[in-house]
Amino acid sequence: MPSPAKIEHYVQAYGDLVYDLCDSILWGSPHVPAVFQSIMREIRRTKPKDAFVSHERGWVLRLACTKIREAFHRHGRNLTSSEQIELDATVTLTSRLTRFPSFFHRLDLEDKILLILRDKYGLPYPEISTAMDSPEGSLKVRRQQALATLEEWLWDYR
Amino acid sequence: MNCFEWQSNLSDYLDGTLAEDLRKKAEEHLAQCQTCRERHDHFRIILTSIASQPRTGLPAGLRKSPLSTTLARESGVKFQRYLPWKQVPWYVRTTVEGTGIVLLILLAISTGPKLRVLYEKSIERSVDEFNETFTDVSNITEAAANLPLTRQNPQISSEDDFSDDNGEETVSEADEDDSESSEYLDSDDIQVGSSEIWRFNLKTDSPHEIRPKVVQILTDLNIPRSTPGLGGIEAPGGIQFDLFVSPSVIPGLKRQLQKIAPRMPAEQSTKSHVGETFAWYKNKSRRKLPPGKIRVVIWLSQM
Repeated sequence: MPSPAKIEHYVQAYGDLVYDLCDSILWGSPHVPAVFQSIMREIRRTKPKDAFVSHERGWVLRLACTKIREAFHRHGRNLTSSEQIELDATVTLTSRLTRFPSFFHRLDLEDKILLILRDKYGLPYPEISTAMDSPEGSLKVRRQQALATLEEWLWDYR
Repeated sequence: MNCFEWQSNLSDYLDGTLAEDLRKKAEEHLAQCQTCRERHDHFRIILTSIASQPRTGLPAGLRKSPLSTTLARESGVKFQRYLPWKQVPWYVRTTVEGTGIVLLILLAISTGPKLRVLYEKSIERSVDEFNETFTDVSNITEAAANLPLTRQNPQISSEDDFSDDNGEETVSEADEDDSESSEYLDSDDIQVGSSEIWRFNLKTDSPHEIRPKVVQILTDLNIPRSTPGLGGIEAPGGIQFDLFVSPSVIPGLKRQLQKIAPRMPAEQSTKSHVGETFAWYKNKSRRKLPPGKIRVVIWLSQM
């Protein structure tokens, strides 16, 4: 079990990343602080395996992703029908790009986690692979498909 | 490099991690293929949009004490366990909740019979209204249709008639002899009135078909057409005739009703009275009837 000093180290080192990941996936839900705390509690009671010693951030993110998936299924926000219609009704690229977060949150949960970790924070694939428990090749394909989906949504109005 | 190969290496190309020779081939392809070039531009825009999304920093409170449970409340998260009611001690909570449940059960028990009485009254009221407004005489012969449907001034309420507590005694059942019933009635031990009520029950598939026949029997027995109740009334489950007649009418009436009663198939007829299509009862009531009259109730029930 990590010591309080170690917990503090995790918070200082990865707190912002984990918190923003929660906030981005849960889309500004008021449950974000509670989810962050549950991640920290999970870290406190989980002993890191030897394989994760060199991938400390990956291990933290792995626990975070597990908790975020649970929280998303309970408190995650999806677009309402009227929001979906309003989103599809926009006909210019500018207005669609203005609504980019809404299009982004239409994506699958795993796609969102992948794009945030890879393209918002620039994490290397090995760490993302550890965090998401998925092979690197699969992640690359998944990322490409997610980008293609977004492109279709954003440029399909023509 | 063709379009398919370019798309296969797209992820690495966007990250800038593609091998040098492959990168050169990809760039050459982009210079030639307008579709892939457009697509590449779109992906760049998307990646820029993702990267430029605002980042939310860790709140100071969480950074200071990330495991403190009080922070959740301060941050505005409304968990159910933090509701004021949940903060009340469990023994008070369970007592109040238990008392509430018991009170609800008692309330349901106490209001149940009252609701039933109200329901029965509403049924009676609707039957009365129906009888008042009853105009459908298609199933009745013309003669019967002209007869009054209800007795105008009933001197005995229906509840009293059927209640044994009011001094009414059942005298005999179906297939019993008249002599036996009379003997039983004349016993000095029974304190009952002298008014007679004869009840005839006919079970039938079609009360409406039997109804004109009953009316015909009654008129054949020299009962005046103006006698109230001669036409019978519609009631839930059948048709009822309720009228005051002379006692001399009864033997003939019983005989005639027995004739028109539907006959049971031979294989179904047993020693038991259950399933009999015709039965008669003679009751006595302490309520007084008009002198020289007895009350006859003929019930044509839907089988």
